Amino acid sequence: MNTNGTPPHFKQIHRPFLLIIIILVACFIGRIMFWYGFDPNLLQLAILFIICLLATGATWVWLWNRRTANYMQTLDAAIERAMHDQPPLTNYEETALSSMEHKLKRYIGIAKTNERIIQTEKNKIKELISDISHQTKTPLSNIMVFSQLLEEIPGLDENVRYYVQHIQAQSDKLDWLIQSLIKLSRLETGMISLQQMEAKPLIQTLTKALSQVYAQAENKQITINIDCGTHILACHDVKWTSEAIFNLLENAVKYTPHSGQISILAETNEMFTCIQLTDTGLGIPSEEIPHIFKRFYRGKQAREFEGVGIGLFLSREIITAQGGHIKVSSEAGKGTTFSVFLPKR
Amino acid sequence: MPILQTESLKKHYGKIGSSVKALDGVSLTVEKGEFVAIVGTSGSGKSTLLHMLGGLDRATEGKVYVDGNDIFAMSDEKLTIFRRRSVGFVFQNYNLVPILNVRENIVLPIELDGGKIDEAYLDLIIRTLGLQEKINTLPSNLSGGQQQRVAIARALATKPSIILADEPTGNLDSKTSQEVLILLKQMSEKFNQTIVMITHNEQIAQTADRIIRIEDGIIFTGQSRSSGVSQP
Repeated sequence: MNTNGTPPHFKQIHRPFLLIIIILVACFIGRIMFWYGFDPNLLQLAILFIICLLATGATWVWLWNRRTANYMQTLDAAIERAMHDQPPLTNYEETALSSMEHKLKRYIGIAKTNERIIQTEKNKIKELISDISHQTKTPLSNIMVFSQLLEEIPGLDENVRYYVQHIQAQSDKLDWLIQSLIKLSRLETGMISLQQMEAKPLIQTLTKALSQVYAQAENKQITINIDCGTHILACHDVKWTSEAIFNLLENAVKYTPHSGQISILAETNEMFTCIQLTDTGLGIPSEEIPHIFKRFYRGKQAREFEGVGIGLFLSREIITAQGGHIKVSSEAGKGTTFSVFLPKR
Repeated sequence: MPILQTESLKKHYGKIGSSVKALDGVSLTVEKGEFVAIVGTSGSGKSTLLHMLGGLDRATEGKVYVDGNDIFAMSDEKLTIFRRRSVGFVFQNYNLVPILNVRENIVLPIELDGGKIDEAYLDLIIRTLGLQEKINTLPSNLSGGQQQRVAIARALATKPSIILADEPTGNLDSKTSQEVLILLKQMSEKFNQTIVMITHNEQIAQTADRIIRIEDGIIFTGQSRSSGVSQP
């Protein structure tokens, strides 16, 4: 902001006043001359008077402009202080500036309080989700244990056995969902601390994720190629990132048909380390791509498979919480590539 | 509330009768926080459209509203100040000042506006864009990707509400393009900015929330890649 210049409307005010003063003085002198006749002395005196008047006026305008500029600067400083929560510039003075400053401070205060209230409410909801997930865990594991015990009772009726198996399958599903919700709520309550992250070799994280899907992949005779040197580093949290990669790999295994292929390629660029996970699976139709990272979203083709639609959402949350980015490109019927970008430093 | 809105925007070059219609009635709306890509072949009028949106050029007919203000109703002086305060530009050829170092280039728009430099904010953008070690380097000693990152930092320095990018990755290889785009997107999400980006690369356009296709000065399709602008 240019605080030194005069605001244009001020100049516009000065001009008519200057004109009025000159006209008034000219009329006055003309009148006197008309009465007393032409007198050089009188003319000299009149000119001197006009010059004095103009000089006084100019000084007055100059001082006034300077005051306005100062006032604007004070105003700017006051706003700056109020914004950064510093003590006020004016201390309860009987001036318009002081009153305005306190009004502004109060307004900012109200806005900040509201923000805090919303944040607290949000945290309460997060806690509630976390509580619900934790509290349902125990009864659920009881259901699972007892249904297992029930199944082991010898000589059960065929119908009963069928029902018990149903109970088991559904409680497994519920268990998985609740586990995911616990992970999500932990993630959202800030269990990943970004400050402590430093560049670590990526290969361990990848192998950790891979070991969890290896058995499933072997069952379907899917070959997994991994290309990641030991020198490839990325800033990441090993536990959470391997969770995210695991989710992507699990999807790849799930949606890739028998004897397909999955390849993992890691490489370093200038700012990010990129991990590409390519499968030869079903692929994702282009109209579904924008939605796949949404919570509980399930693709049309994916509905035939097990799952609740939280894995990709969780993965994206984990990656973006670490300052990374996740991106997908896919061709229906040919396969999908997920690219995970993690910051190098 | 839309941050950017055009009403049957037209731009004709040349004399009446033999004029070239660069834009022939473009009406579009961009919501706050959206990342919009404008794609089209060369000569389709996409750069002209971007220049109109940023107030770099005046339209033959039609209106552009930014935050509800009709920008063509402003005087040239006001338009300059509007550009300096609310729009950040990123160009294909970076447009960095060669005799100024990285930091001086970034703070240039703030100093032009006569404002004070918010050091904490400046430090944040420099660190996020990974430029902290290059701060005293001259642009000629930087790679293309680094130069474009400086240009992004400069565009963000005045905390504008809109970023207009004209082929920001046009001179970069595909890997560097990817990185620059990720950074641009992350920054706009962080500071709640709206991005309008021109590109002729479909792959790059896929990063955006919405793609607007422009052909011979008119909008072809404007399909949305996501129904909600901000995702959880």
